[in-house]
Amino acid sequence: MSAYLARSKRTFGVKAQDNNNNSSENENLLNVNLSIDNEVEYNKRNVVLSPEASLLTMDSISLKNNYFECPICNEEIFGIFQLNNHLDIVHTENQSGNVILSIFRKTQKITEDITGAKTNIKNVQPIINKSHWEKSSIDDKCSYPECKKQLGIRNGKQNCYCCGKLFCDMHTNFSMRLSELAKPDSNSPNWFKVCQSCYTSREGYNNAEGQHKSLTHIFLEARKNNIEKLCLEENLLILRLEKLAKSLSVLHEKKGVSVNQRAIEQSVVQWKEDSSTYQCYRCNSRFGKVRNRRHHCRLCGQLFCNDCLEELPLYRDIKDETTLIGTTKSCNHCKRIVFRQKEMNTKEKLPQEAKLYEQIKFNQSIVDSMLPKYNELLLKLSLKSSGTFSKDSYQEAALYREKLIKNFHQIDLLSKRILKLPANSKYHRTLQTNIAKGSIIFLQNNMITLKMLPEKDEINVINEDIEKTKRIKEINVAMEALNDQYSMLQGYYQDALFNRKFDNAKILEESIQDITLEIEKLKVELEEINF
Amino acid sequence: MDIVKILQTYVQKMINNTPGMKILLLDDNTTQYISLIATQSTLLSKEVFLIDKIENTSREKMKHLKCICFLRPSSKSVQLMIDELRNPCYGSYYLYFSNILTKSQIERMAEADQQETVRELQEFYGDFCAINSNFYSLNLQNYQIFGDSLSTWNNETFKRTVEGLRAVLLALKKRPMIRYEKNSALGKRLASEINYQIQQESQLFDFRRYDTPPILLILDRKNDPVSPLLNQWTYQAMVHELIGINNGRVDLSKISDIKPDLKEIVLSADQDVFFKNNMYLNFGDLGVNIKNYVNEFQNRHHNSDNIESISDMKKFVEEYPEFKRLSGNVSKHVTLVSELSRLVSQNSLLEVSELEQNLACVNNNNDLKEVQNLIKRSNITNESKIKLVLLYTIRYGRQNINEVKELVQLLLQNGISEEQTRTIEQLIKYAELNERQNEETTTSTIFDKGKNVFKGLKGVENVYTQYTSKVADIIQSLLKGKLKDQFYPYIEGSIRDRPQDIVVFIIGGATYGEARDIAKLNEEIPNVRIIIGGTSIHNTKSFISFVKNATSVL
Ligand SMILES: [Zn+2]
Ligand SMILES: [Zn+2]
Ligand SMILES: [Zn+2]
Ligand SMILES: [Zn+2]
Ligand SMILES: [Zn+2]
Repeated sequence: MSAYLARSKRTFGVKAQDNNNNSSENENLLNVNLSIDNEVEYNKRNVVLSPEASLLTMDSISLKNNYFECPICNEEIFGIFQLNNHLDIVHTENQSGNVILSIFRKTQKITEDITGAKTNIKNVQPIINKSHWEKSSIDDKCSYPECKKQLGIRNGKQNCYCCGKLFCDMHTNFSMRLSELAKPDSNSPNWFKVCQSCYTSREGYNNAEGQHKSLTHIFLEARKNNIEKLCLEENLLILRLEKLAKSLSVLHEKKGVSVNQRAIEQSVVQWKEDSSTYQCYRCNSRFGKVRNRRHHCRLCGQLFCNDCLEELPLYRDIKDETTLIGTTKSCNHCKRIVFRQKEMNTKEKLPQEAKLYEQIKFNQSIVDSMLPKYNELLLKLSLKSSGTFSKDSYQEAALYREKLIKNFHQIDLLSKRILKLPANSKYHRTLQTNIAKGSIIFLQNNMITLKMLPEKDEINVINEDIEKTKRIKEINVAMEALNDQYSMLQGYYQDALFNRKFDNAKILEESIQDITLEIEKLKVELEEINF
Repeated sequence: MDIVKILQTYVQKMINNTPGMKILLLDDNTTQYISLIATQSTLLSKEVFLIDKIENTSREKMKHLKCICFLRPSSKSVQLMIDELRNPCYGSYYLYFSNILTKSQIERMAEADQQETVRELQEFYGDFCAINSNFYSLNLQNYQIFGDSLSTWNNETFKRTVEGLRAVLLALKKRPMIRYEKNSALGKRLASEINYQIQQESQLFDFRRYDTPPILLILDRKNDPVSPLLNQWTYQAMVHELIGINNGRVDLSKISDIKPDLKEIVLSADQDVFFKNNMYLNFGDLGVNIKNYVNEFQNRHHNSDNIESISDMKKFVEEYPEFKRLSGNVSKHVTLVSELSRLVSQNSLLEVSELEQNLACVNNNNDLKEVQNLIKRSNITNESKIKLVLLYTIRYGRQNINEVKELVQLLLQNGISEEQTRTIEQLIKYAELNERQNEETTTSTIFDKGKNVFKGLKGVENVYTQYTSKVADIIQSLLKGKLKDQFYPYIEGSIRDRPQDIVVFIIGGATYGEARDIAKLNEEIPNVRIIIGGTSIHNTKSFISFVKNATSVL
C-alpha cells in the first residue's frame, strides 16, 4: 500500500488544518506543496525499512504467482519477476534504493537456495504484448483522471500492462490476469499490474444486477396442464347445472303437480350415501344428528357441512344472465369452477380516478417527449451569441414552452380533480391521494428543469388574445370537471335516497347546489369573454 | 458490490417491467427489506399507487390494478399467495420471490391460478436487509441461534440462515471459496451446508469466471465478544448504540418537546447526502460538520429574505421542495446529534469509553481500581457498569477470577440486581472464556494485543477509537496471505492468490462499528472489495440479551 498520503492527524473533536487547502490557486505552488508531502512520504518509506519488513513474506515465497511487498515502497506486487521489474522501473534512479536492491537480491538468493530453483528471473517473464505502451519521458503525469501526479522516483512510474498508459504507483496497485494480447482474460495463468481504470472497468465488475431465475415458463406449463383437467370438470359441472336448471324450470311450470325434486337432483349427479362418511368433505368437521347436519352439493354429490355450502344461482344458459330461474346449493369448489369463465370475463367498470389517470398519463407522455427537445433548443439558443439567433428557433422554443406549461397545468388540474372525487372506501381514497401525489412528484421533477427563455424584446409573445384563449380553455376544463362531479353526486344522491340515508342525502344535496352555483359562475364568465 | 444498489435494481426491474397503475404486495419480511431501500416517491413515480401486506385479508377488489408481489417463499406467504390467487383481487399478477421456490410450491400456485391472472413468476434473491452499501443483515434478531448446546444450531434458524446467506451470494453473483473459524462448530456446519447448496444449485451459481475466486469468510461472534460491548463514536454506530436503529428508523419520541415530524426519523445513506458523508465520521468531526450544515442552510434561508411579502415566501417554499427537504434534514440531524451529545454527558460516556478502550487494547495495572471507581459513581448507568465488568472479565477473568467475583459484589452493593449480574457468568459461557487456554499462541485470541490496523495507516486517531474490531485484523491478515489455514480452514480446496472480493458473515450478529471498519478498509484498499453482514445487528443491549438467550439453552 503506497497510500501514505500525508493525512491530517485528528485530535478528538477538531480536525487539524489541512496544509493543502489553498493548493488550486497556483500550479507552481501546488507542485512545491506536493513535493513537500512527498518528502514526508519518502522519509516514512525509509523508516519502514526495518529488517522485519524487508524480509518479505519469506514463508510464502515461491517462483509462481505469489504476492510480495516491495521492500522499498511496500507496494503489493504479484510475482517475483514483476517485483524485479518494479524495482528496475521505479527505484533504480535512487541511491538508497540501490542499497535496498542489494538486500533484495540477497533475499532472492536465499530463496533460490531454499527452493533449489536457480532460474533466471528474466526468463520466467511471460510473453505479453507491450507495443501499445506509452513511452516514458522526463515529464510524465499519471493518466488516471484527476490524479495528474508527476511521475518519477517519488510517485513511481509504471505502464499499465492492459491499456499501456503511464500511471503513478497508487493507481497501478492492481493486478489482473491478462492474455498475451494484453486483454483481460480470467483463464490466463499470468498476473499483471494494471491501472485502476482497467481494473474497475472490467466486464461485470460493477454489475448491480443480482442473479435471478424466471419460472414463468414452468408455471404457465403447470397451469396449462391443470386448466386442461379443470376444463373437463368445468364442462361436466356446467352440464349438470344446466340440466338441473332445465328440470327445475319444468317443475315450476307444472305447478301443483307433485314431482319429487330430490329425484330430479339425484338424476343429475349421484349423491353420496349419508352413511358413507361422518365428516365434511371440505373442512372435516364431524356431522351430528341435530347440530352440524350433512348436506349434499348438488353438483358433485359430496357431503358437506352447512358452513361449507353456498347458494348457487341457476341459469338455463350460464352465459346469459337473464336465464336465471332460481337457486340451489353447492360446495364452493364446484361453484368456483362452474363460474370460473364468467368471473374471468366480467369487466369491472373503470373507476373515475382510473379514467382521469389515463389522461394524466397522456399529458405526461407529451411532456416526456417534448421536454428534451425544448432543452435542446434552449441550448442551441444560448450557444449562439445574443441577438444573432434565428427568430424561427426562438419562436419554436416559445411554442414548446407554451405547450409544456399547458400540459403541466393540465396534469395539475386533473390531479386536483382526482382529489375531489368522492371515494366509497378507504382504499379508493388512498389510491386517489397517491395518484395525485405521484403527479405532483412528476411536476416537481420536470418543472424545475423547465428553464426560462432568454429575454427578447422584439417578440412580444404574450398578448391579450393568447391570454383570452388560455382563460377560455381553463374554464372549459374546469366546467368539464364540475360536470363530472355533478353527475356523480347526482348518482350518490339517488342512492342515498333509495337507501333512505337522509343525512347523507342532505349533505349531498348541498354539495350539488354548490357545484351548480360554481358552474353558473363559470358560464357567465365564459359569455363575458366571448362577447 | 454495492448491496443496496443490487436490491434497488431488483425492485426497479419488478416495477419497470409492468407499466400501469399498480399495487405492491409484500409480506412481513419483504416489507422490511423494501422499506430500507425504496422511498414512497420513487415507488409513486413508477405508478405504484398502493402498497399493502399480503397478510391483510380485508383488501378490496380492484380489478383495474396490476399486482406486483414480492414475497419470501415461506410456507405462510406461499399459502397466502395461493388463497389470493383462488380469489384474486386484482386484474393481473406479477410474482417475485426472494428465494428459491420448491417444485411443489410452484405447482400449488399454478393449481390455484384457475382464473389465469398470473403473468410472471420469478426468483429475485433479495432475501436480506441491505443496511449500507457494504453491510447486510439477515434480520434474525428474534431467532434462537442455538439448538440444545452452544455448538449446535437451532434447526429452523439454521435453515433460515442458509437460505439468507445463499441469497446474499446469489444477489452478489459470487460463487466463493469458503473459510471458517476452526473453533466454531456452527461456522463449520454453515460453511459445509453453503458449499453443498452451491453444488446443488450449480446452475444458479454459474457465473462469469473470476481472476481469483471470491472468499466467503464465516466468523463466530463468540470469538469477538468485545466489539459489541464498546461505546461507539462514529455517527451511525453511535446512534444504534445509544438510541437504536430499527430497520433504518430511529425512534426519537422519548425526547421531550419533540416536533411531531421528528418522532420517527429515517437514516439512509441512499436518500440523505449529509448522512452519507458523515455516517462513518467520529463524533468530533460530526459536530463541526453539522455546524457547517446549519450555516449553509441559514445562508440559503437568508437569501430568501429578499422576497418581499409573506405570500412570496410561502410560494418560495412551496416551489422549492428541495429547500423544504433540506430544512427537514437539517433539523433532523441537529436534533439527533444534540440528543447524542446529551446522552454522552449525562452518562459520562467519555470516561466510560476511555476505560473501555484501555481494557480492550492494553494491559494496565490500574484497570481494576478504575473499574471499581466507576462502579461507585452515580452518574454512570448500570448498563455501563456491567459492560466494564464484562470487558474486565474478558481481559483478566481467566487469571483473576477472584477479582471478577469482587467486582460482582461491588455491582450488587451499587444497586445492580442479581439477575443483571448473571450476564457475566453467561458471557463467560458463551465466549468460552475458560477454555481459551493456549490461545495466546494462535491467531484467534480475542484481543490482538492492542494492535490497531489503522494505526499504521493513519496514525492514532484518538483515545476513544483505539480499538479496531477483530474482523478488520482478520481481513488484513487474509489480504497479506497470513491468515493461517490451520485456524481458518477452507471447507474445500484452497487458494494462494490474493482475494479481490470478500464476503464476511458473522454468526451471532455483526455491529455498525465493524461495518464502519470494513467501509474504511474498502476506502483504504481500493483493489479489494469487502462486504460484511451477519444474522443480525447488535448494540450492547441486544448483544447482552442475545448472550442471555444463547445460554438459556444450556
Ligand atoms: Zn517499490
Ligand atoms: Zn490501464
Ligand atoms: Zn495517479
Ligand atoms: Zn365444512
Ligand atoms: Zn361440489
